[in-house]
Amino acid sequence: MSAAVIEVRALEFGWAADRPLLRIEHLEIPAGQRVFVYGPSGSGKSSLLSLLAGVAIPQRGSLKILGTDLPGLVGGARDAFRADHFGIIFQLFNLVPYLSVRENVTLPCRFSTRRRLQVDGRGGADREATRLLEHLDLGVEARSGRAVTRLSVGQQQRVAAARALIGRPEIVLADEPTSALDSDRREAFLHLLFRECESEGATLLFVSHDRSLEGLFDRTLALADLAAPLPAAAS
Amino acid sequence: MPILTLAVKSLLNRRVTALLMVLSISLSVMLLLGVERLRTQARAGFANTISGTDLVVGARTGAIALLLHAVFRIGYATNNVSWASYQEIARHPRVRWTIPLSLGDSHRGFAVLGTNPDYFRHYRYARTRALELETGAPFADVYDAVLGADVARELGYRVGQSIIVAHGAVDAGVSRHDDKPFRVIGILKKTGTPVDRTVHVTLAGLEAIHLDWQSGMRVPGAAVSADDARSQDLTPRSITAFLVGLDSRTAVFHVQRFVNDYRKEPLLAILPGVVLQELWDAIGVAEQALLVVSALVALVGLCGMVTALLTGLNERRREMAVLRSVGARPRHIFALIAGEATALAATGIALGVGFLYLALFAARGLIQTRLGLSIEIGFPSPYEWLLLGAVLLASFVAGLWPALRAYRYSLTDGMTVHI
Repeated sequence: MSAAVIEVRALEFGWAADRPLLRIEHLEIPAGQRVFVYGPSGSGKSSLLSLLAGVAIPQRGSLKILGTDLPGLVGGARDAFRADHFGIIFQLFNLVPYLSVRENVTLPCRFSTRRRLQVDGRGGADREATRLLEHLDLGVEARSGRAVTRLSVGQQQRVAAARALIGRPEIVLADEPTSALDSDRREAFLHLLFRECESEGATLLFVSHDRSLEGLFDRTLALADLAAPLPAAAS
Repeated sequence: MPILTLAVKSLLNRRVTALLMVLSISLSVMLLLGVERLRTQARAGFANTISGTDLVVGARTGAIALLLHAVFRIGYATNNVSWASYQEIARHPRVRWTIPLSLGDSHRGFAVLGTNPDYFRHYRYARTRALELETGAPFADVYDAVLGADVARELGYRVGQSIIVAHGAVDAGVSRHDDKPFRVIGILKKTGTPVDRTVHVTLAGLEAIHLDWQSGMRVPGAAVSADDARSQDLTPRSITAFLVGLDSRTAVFHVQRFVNDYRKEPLLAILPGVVLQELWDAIGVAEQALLVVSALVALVGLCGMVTALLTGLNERRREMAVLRSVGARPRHIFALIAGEATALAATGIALGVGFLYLALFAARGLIQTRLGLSIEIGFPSPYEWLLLGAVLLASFVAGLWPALRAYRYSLTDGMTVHI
């Protein structure tokens, strides 16, 4: 079995220090796995993603990504780490409205040297963006130069997926990216995402409150199960 | 810097708002620079009113009063200079030329100046420019008059026309010298100086029309006809002031002392350039106020830009979160907004300078003929570059506010934004 990409121990986090929102005793995710993280609204899904991406810092516990102690890095280094190793897909409004489809996809290469070097090895950012977009059935849209705001929601999410995957980051974080799609489109989107994650060798962490999709994943984690009962909740 | 291309693209995406911001900045820059241009041109024009004259001499009074009266035809002379004193000073070995000036009469609101042909020979303005005739000829006869450009244009006079001079500044019935009309013999070209608003007549003619006058009134029964006057001695007993040209500038203080120490009557000699400068310093407050107002307009333009940027910030929090998620650091977000402000201001400034030059080229001819101000269209002066730099710097500083705000948003929002 390959080494853990994400390793969490005795982690505690709350946006306000005295009100812990999230607690994870132990979590290990091996490379290449497709993980479905389930949690109802308000259970700390967004907090988990912020922690993993290095935007938020846990109050307690250890958090290692690819062997790096993320909370131990200074702010700028965490930003650089995120740019190098994460692809992130939001629920909605993923795209920068004033950039073209292709520019949106190549955006991470502007901020990450590692990902720029990765795409350079494959013939450049534009070529790699075109390739990914074609794989995600967006070849026509990429060529037409249409404004990203004129794309359908499903198309926008696929552009976001291409952006998350460009330059081969190790981890793709997806924050309910299918919630605005019809159910049949959801599966189609997921299959495309799986296929590309697999071919790029990325670990996928998919967060949702909708369990209907969990059957498609390698593994399901319920946020509630990860946390040992908090002292306040226990009393 | 990848973030700057983002800033430009972001602005192009919001081009209507961006265009309005650029327009307001460019208009205020155009105003600021235009006022500065007019200010320096007006100052130069003012300093150019009289040139080549080393001294202005009149009866003892204030230096500015003498300048105002002799050069700008404003105010009254309390005393005159006797013809004998004038002759004596004119004979001073260092004096190369003199121009006698006799003021006091008027024609339909314009000053009447009695002088001699030396006026057209020696008078200089705008450093080296001599008076030129548009049409006609200089004085030949006792009753000849040469009009300034504005007099001819406003009153619609032509060469050959006869005009009546009025005694004093008020041109009304009884005070008119209507028995001895003057004939317009020449019209001068526009100079942009008080010469344009002057009716020039001969000293002899001025003396002739006053032969039968005493203390501002016609002497009853003593009437002398215009032709009879020719046979009389028309040498004036006194003049108002005179201009002096010396053989060398180094003699200025020597001759000035000679005049100021003159024993036979109290006289005053002034250096026109120096007194012009004093006068400008006194009235220059107005032009500075104008510059302050236009600087405030530029400030208003910048405030508009900051307002627009701040207003837009909230709806762009999502965009910033996306940028953060792909690896942009908070300082990138800061640079994005600050870069937008600077790009807007730089475009506005460039456009404003362009507008100004267009306007200058378009209005140049009109300003020359109407105001007599010759506008030189050159590259911006060092001071103007300084002004432009100050606007750019101010806009950068103003842009720091929304940038700092965006920076804070990006720190607190992270990647999660409440839509």
